[in-house]
This record gives sequence, C-alpha cells and structure tokens, in this order.
Amino acid sequence: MKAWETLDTLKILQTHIKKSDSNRIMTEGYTYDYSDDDSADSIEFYNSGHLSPSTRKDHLTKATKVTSILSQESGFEIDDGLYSDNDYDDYDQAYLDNVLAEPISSQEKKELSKGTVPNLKYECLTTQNIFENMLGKVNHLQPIFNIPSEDILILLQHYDWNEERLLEVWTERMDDLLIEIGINPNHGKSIDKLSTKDKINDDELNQATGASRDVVFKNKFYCIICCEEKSTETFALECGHEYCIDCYRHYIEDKLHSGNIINCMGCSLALKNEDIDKIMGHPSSTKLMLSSIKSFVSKHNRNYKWCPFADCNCIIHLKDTSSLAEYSRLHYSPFVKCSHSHKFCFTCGFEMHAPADCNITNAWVKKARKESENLNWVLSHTKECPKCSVNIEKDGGCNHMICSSCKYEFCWICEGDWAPHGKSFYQCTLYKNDETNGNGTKTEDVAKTMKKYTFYYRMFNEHEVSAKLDWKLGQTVGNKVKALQEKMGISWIEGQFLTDSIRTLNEGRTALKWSFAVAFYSDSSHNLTKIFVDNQSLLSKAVEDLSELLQIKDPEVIMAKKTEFYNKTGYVENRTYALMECGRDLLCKGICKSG
Amino acid sequence: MNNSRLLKEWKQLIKSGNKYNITPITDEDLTHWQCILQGPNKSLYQGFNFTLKILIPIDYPMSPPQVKFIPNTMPHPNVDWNTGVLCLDVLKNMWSPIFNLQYIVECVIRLLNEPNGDSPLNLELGTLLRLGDHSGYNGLIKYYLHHHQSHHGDANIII
Repeated sequence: MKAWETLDTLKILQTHIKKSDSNRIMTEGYTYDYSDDDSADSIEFYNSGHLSPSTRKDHLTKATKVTSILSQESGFEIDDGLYSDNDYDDYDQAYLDNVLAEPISSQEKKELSKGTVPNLKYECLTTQNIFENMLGKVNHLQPIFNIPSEDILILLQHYDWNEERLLEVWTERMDDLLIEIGINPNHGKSIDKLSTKDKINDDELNQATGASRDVVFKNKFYCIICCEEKSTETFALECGHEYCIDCYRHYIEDKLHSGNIINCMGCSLALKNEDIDKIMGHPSSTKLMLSSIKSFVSKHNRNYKWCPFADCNCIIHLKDTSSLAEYSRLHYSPFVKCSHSHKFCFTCGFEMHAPADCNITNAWVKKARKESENLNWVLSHTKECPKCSVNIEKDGGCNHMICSSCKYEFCWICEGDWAPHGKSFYQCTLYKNDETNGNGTKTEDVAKTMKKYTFYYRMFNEHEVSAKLDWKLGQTVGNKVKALQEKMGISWIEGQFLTDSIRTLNEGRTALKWSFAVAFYSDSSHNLTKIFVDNQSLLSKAVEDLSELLQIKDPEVIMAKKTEFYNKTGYVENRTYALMECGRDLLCKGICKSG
Repeated sequence: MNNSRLLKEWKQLIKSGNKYNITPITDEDLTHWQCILQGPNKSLYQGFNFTLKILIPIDYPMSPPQVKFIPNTMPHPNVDWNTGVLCLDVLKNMWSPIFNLQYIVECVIRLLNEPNGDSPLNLELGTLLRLGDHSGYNGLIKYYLHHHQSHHGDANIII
C-alpha cells in the first residue's frame, strides 16, 4: 500500500506544479483566474449570492483535478514553451525531478515529431469549466457595464454567451436592452415602463407593497394561477405579480431544462439566479446555467464537441478549426483525447479510425449497417475446437487458442493449425482472391464482392471483439501492477510498462480493425495494396504476440520478462505507425476510394 | 391537474357572459372544451362559424392547452388545413401560466385578423400572402370557405 501513497502524493505534487501552468491554458483570452492572489472579483461575485463560498471551493478542486489529468496524460497539447522559470520557483527541485522522470511514451513523441500537419491545440472542458469561463466574461464586462454581475449574467445568457454581440447591442441601446431583457434598471423604483403581458388579470393583481424579490408568508393568499386561497409562502418581483410558492416552483422546474431566461409569469421581468434559488429553496439556478451552457455547446458545434463515449461529460474545445481542412486534405484525422482518455475523431465524432479517414469510416459503417440487414451475421463468441469439437469461449484478446481438453493449438480466426501462423507471416489477414476464372457472370461477381465484404467484415469484427476483451484485460493489468508493487516492492514508475503495453496493444488493435475497412475499399491489384496487406500481417503478428505476453499472471514472470514487454510494445508501436502511414499513402494516391 | 383553476375559469366565463361560447364538451370533464368562433367582422371570415377544440393538458396551467380547428374548416396561412393545428406563439414558447382560455381564444381571433406569412402551415396561402397577391389570397380563402363551410350562422358543429 505504501507505493500507492507515494503515487498519490506524487500526483498531488504534479497537480501543484502544473496548476499555474494549466490556469493559463484555461484562461487564454479571459481574465478569470483560479489563483487566489488576483481573483478578488470572482470571490466578490460568488459572495453576491449566486453560489455559496463552499461550492466555489468544490469547483476549484474539481477544476484543478481536471487540469491535472490533462497535463499528465496529454503531453502533446501543452507546449514546452509555456513552462517559464517562474512556475517552478516555489517548488523544491526534488519534486521537479519527479515530474521530469515521468516517462513520455514514444507514441507521443512521434505525434510531436510528425510535423506534416499542425498539432491540434485543444482543451478538454466540462460544462462547469465553460460556465466558469463565462463568469470570467462577466467579471470582464462588469467595469464596462457598471451594473450588478447577476444582471450581466442574464444579458450574456440571452445573447448565447456571445460577448461581442452583447457589447455591440449594449453600446447601441443600453436602456432599451435592459427593459427588453427584463432587468429593471432602477431596482424597483419604476415599473411602468415594463410591458405587462396582458391586462386581463390586472384587477386581481396583488399590488405588492414593498414585498419584492423575497419569499414572504401570507396568511390568506389567493393565487390566480392555481385559483386557491390558502396560507402559503409567496414570491413577487418588483412588478408586484405575486404567486404562491408552489405555482412558482412548478413554473421554474419546467423551465430549468430550456436554459432560457425565466421571466415573471405576469410580465417580462427576468428572474435572477438568486431569485430562483430563493424560490426553489436550493441552488437550482446552476441547473439552469448548465442547460444554457449545454445549448451553447450544441450551437457552437464547429468548435465544441461532446465526447461521444457513453457517460462521458467532457467537451473538447478546438479554438482554431482552420487546420482541419489540411488534415482532411492529407487524409489525416484530427483525433483528440478527453480527460477520461477517450480518443475520438473531432471531425466525424467516431472512435480512433486510423488508418481509415472519415470518408472511408463513414462508408464502411454505412455499409456494415446495410449489410447486416441482408445477412444474418452469426458471429458468436464460441467456436468448436477443430480437433475434439469441445465448445470454446474466447475470454482473452489473443487469437492463439490452446484447447483446454485436447491441447490442440489453433488460430481463432481461420480455425487452422497455429504452427504456420507463429513462424512465418500471420496468414489469416490475407484474403485469398480466388481469381481462377476472369470471366465470371454477374451473379458470380456479386457473390464475389459479397464474399470479399463478408471476409473483411469478419476480420473487422474479430478485432473489435478482441479489442473489447483487451479492454477487460486492461483492468486486470491494473491489479497486476498492484500485485507487483506488493510482492516485489517495486515503484509505480517501474510498473508503468504494463499499462503502457496494454495501451499500445489497444491502439494497435484499433488500427488493425480499421485497416480492414481501408483494405476493403482499396484496389487489390495495386502493388501498394499488397504492401499494405503485408503491413497488416506484420502488425497482426505483433499484436497477437503482445496480447499473449499480457496473459501472464505471475508477477515474478512478468518482471523477468520486462525487456520482452518493452521490445514487443515498441515493435507494436512501430508497426502501428507504419500501417497508418501506409494506409494514408493509399488514400492520398487514390488507390483506396469509398466511391 | 388543477381542477379548481378550471372550475374558476368556467364560473368566470359564465359570469362575464361568455361572449366566445367557450364551453366544456361535457359538464363532468373539464379537460375537453369547445368554442364556436364567429368570423371577425370586416374580415374574410365574417359570417362563418368555426369550431375550436381545446384540450387541457394534465399540468395546466403550467403547460399551454392544445388548441385546434376542426380539420378541413379553416383556410388560414397559420392553420394546417388538413389537421386544423394552428401555429401561435402564446400556445408554445410564449405561454405563461397567467393566461387563461378566454385569452387564448382572443389570441386566435387576433391571428385570424393578422395572418403571418413567415411561418405558414398552409403553404399555398402563406406563399400568396408573402408575394402580396391579395386577390389570389382572398379568392382562395373564399373558395375554401364556400366549398367547405355552410353559410351564414349554420354552426358547423361536429361532435
């Protein structure tokens, strides 16, 4: 357990060291800052009633947590140039050494050195982060507008958080704007300017006497919404439209999801966040703010993308989308990684699909959807042992099967003997084109394409299933690392190679999987396609080898084979990279086309 | 469902003379209402009667009532001819719990006088209105009215 504690402290230290750095990334262009020394404005804002100081603290911890993950896992998005000497001054050199000792995987080095397309500069946010950025805008505008921050928040909310548009309208018609949005500029002194929604209920209107923006208890109150006379708490804005608290709560509850400004039921006066919280009795306004941010994200889907993974709330914000065109021209895909390590393509929102580009991916996925309607895919997880016919379930990622009853070694994909697979090339990736007769009839052609597709789809599917099993394997790897630490007394850093291996394995499998989509759409007679298929075989072999290595359960054996782990992981990395480049070459030269 | 609110509205309607004939279809059930609308004076609809069906949702007055004309009776740019559904902001995003049934009917009458060509449900009429083809627009409405509606006060009640 000691090793885990050290790990935690290390993480905390890293968080500290990188905190000031990440702040800068978060706040580019905004004045909002997390550091305590110059955030007097933000504290004031929070104290003005919108959020209690305790929630603020929560947000802070949350934000630093997120940024720490960011800086830990995605070295390629934080420029080395950002590390100025000042950032380190406050910290001990020893801590610094620990941080620098953090291994950078060669995968990331490669991504940095590629250089052919500009590295994407993006940030991973949550709705909460974006909201905090918006609060930064509010603080920025406050000295210009000279009205309460809460009012600016409402104005920004109305203008979809578009600072420029708000400023424009503000300079044009300040007073009209305040009335239009429903912010009473004179704080209760004049209400005649406000447009009342209708006059029909004016006779019943309780012209509140001084009771404004507060929940009050009334002994006999007649509410014109529910038409009941009762002893109840009531609420009214400066306009005096007073309703019972139950009706108000119902009304607000229905509107919280829309993200739009909530007005008084009787006129156009806007409810501020503090009013909403007062009426609801708990901080419901955050819900409204977050729905508003969500609609903001959906409206700005060119720069903001939700992480497509299930239950992931991350939002990737790409400020500069100009390089995306260059990406697609060179058949690269703009893969991004959220703070939960989910990688996806920023353009099409699909998982990592290299070597295929977005077009091929799209065509392939559409075809798979169409074909699965025509064909009844019976790709079950169990197969019979080719020798003794016992039912075997595949519970690991490796395709090298050893029957538990007769010890026969075979390949899961082709159900053939394993021996030839291990020695020479991994035969199973080679689709044997039975081109015995050049002059087939049309139905034969259709059957042939279908056969070809069936083969590639099967391969694609096999690797997808394997990748899923690998993911399960990854979870056991965590336990293995822990076991290593306990039994052998080795440090966290030293055990890291296992985690690296599983990540590399997964990336290799994903690349392999999508390479079958590329192979399907490629001209099979071209020489480059043949090279591509060879590359596929090599990666396949490398992946199977690594997967097999990861099945080892005994920690001592694992440590003994450490160099083998390093070598095989490095090999898979190189092969994956080679396959991706080869696939991109096919796409660039037009040998692989989805049309 | 807030019954006291509907009951109160019903009582108020009776007390004030109920000039738009807004009545529940049966006395026991206050969720289905009907209104016999007289075509407003000096409009193309003058002299014709229209039946408006009003359905009260379960969370009324927090949600607006569903209002529609009887299908194939109302030629109007903002009313779907085949379904009778009408497009009115106060029945959608502009709804406030303070509005009542009488106010809604008043809004429908206002819509009859002030058609809006920009968000048409009846595309032919919407296009004619936008293009400013008044004779075509008026002619088409008259054609619809005379061929599908009974004339002069014979209320077209379909139950």
